[in-house]
Amino acid sequence: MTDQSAGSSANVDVSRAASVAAEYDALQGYAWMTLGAGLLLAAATGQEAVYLALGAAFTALAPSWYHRRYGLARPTGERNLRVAIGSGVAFLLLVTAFLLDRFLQPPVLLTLLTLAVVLGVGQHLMLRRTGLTRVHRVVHGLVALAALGPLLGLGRGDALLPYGLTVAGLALLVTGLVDHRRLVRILGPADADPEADDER
Amino acid sequence: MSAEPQLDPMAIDRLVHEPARMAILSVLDGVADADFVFLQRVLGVTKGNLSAHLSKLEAAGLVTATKSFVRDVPRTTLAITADGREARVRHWAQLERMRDLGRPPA
Repeated sequence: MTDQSAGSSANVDVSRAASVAAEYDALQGYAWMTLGAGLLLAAATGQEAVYLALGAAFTALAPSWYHRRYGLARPTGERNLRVAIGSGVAFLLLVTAFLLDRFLQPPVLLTLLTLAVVLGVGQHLMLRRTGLTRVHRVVHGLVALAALGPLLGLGRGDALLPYGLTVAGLALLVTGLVDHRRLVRILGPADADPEADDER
Repeated sequence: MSAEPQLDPMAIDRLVHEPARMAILSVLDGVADADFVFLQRVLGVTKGNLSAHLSKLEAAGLVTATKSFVRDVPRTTLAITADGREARVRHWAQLERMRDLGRPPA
């Protein structure tokens, strides 16, 4: 082989590397985990505004943890636009479902059914190349099942918000942990190369 | 080199064909840009190896490298060029053609 620099690169998994790079933003599980923790604290304390704001703040900071350890890869403008539009649509659907639950009080919680769909479709689209794990699918199913809460006396009346926040928080916490572990498994332990600075 | 049309059906663009360089182009094709550290981690190659491959791709005009300092730490940000995208697509098309040439007649 005339190309001497090619020696140690024969084992590069091109497809996996390209998939992880393209979906690096969605695999940063700490972002989802901190948001999930914020939702759980909001549900437990009743101080929704405080902990939702804290959760959102830590979620915004989470990517810097990955950037420091694994470097930076910025998504394409097209992906950013899709995520922004998808997030806006998801938010509107969830607020609408919550208001319907609040005022119509149906026997099945539309908020959690909508959340199950939003999580399922959203994570499927965000992780289209990397794929979803069995845990993701189980979580989506459990969120849908949790919509039956009012039949068991859960999430009725004033308990709707804390119940919904708890289910959403747990779902984000679990799926975030799975995605974080997948990313770390692929990119290696965070302290595997303490001198991983730029030498070019 | 990689911008020339490949008339020979068995001709391979060696610059793009090398696995690590193909991986670099594939990774950069899916993002707006990525820094050196990320490329090193996601590809699992050594600094020297990655640096050598990037130099070749940069010299051929397939990627661009932008050097900057973030809190006094040097950072090199890499992005694929239009020529790089084209070379990658052309290379895959060439591999498809070669596969078809080797396929037994139906």
